Amino acid sequence: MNKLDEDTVAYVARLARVAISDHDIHLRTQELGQILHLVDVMQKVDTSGVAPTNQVTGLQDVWRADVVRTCSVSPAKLLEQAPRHQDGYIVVGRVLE
Amino acid sequence: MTINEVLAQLEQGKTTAVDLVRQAFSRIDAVNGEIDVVLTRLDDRALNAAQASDKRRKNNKKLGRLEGIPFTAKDMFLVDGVRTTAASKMLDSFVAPYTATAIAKLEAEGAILIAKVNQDEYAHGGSTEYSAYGPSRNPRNLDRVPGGSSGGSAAALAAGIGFFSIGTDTGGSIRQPAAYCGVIGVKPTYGLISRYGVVAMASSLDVVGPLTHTIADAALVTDIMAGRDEMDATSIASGLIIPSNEHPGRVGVVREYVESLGSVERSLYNDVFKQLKLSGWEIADVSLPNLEYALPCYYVLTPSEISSNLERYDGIRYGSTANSTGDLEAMYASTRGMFFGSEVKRRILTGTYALSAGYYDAYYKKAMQLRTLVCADFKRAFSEFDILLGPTTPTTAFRLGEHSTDPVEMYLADIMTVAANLAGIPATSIPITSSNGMPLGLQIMAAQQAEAMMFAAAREAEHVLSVVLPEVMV
Repeated sequence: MNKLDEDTVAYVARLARVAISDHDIHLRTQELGQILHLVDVMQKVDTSGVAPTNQVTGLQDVWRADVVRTCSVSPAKLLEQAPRHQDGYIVVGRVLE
Repeated sequence: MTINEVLAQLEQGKTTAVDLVRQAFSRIDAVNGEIDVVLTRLDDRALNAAQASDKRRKNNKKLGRLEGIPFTAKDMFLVDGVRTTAASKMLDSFVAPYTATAIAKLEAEGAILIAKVNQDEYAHGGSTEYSAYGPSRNPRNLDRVPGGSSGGSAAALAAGIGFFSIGTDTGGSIRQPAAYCGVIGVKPTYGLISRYGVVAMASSLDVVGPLTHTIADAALVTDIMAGRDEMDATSIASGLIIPSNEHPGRVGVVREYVESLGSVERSLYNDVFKQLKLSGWEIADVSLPNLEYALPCYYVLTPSEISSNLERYDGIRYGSTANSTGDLEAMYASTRGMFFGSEVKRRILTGTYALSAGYYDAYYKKAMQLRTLVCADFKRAFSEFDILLGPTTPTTAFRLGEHSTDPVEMYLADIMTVAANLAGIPATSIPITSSNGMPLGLQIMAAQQAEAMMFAAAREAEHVLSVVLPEVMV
């Protein structure tokens, strides 16, 4: 399970959209290896047939009435949060070549 | 002073909200240089609120049960028009456009927010050393950490800044700093308090809770914040929280926790259990065999949820952004590489790895299955016992820098607190004294939504143990 190399960490960093310098990849690989070592104790438990849990208070399909309400925050106020905005739009970098 | 004592003084006209707020700020002036707990002061906002509060009191139009009481909040809580950083450079200049439900409910009862306080970045950590704005210090010993991630909350309260604080607890982040600083810290049932307007860490585990000086105060503040909120689909209706005459019938001591302690701490906790027995508690040992998997399970689920939740920090809609000339993807990566701290990146990478194709079953799914086993252990225990007891932490507060070279060492400080989050049960830490003069915590756990029972037991324990901690150093 614990076969972790720098290429894998570089790939994971790319998936996570986090820039990591070549210098740091070595350290990050080491750290991730330590963390995986800590959690690998899980592997000794036989969990076949055990249902996974992701919600603990038993809530299911939480509904509310389909009523239109006004948002407490104005679009202008939200737009102001964007580092770059212009004419009521958020400015982003180039997506297509 | 406790909330109830201050309310009595206000009622008798011995003090005013304006005086209390001014005193809180002079306390900040006096001690913040040493303990570094305040990230943002709210002088004008708090003084205006205090003047309004005094006026209401004079006109007999009090808002509610916390009229005129100054408090602090961890910087995870959004407050309309107020800088909210989560102690991250990613949100360095972020001014919240709306207010968290928990804060709104406290203010609706007359409480006055005086400052946003320090924490580990995005609540990832157990010492405040991962704050992008530098660590806070423990007011009971300045060489020691206050714990974390709600370390600013615990340290501020212990140092006499405000009369309560609110924090968040994903794996112990309220109870552990409370134990380290010698105050009470409460992690309620999952969903009891709305997470609307709280910066997200791990959504299936995050809860909001109070840090206070007494159990009566903790029950009051919890009761005010509790309840279903349409803005948080996982929130639940609030039942009985403030205890009346409940008495803990059967009390179990979690054997796995006590056995893992060092000999000094073990005899210390055994003395505490003895005192409670002498006072009439019916105490027996209980075993939760899957507890040893709680920490590994937590350190897979939490980073996984973090990696997903923190996707939102993309440098586009709000928060900091890197000046990148490249394409969109390069801008994402450089923004996140530049403004996230080391521990945040560690957790994002771990989580992304655990969720990625090929590793999902071995890590994420496996951890969710182990969570089922941990929950089942608690269910079994609570079919026999009303209350479970254990330590909050294995040791007293560690020294600043002690765990800074090994991130996994830091994770081990959470070993006795994470299980309550995995099971969604309420847990409270109350202070006890240790042999080295620093406080420790007694952890009191109850079944989901059995807050009244938990507070009843904690109130009795508080009374029986009647702990007197040494004065703070600042």
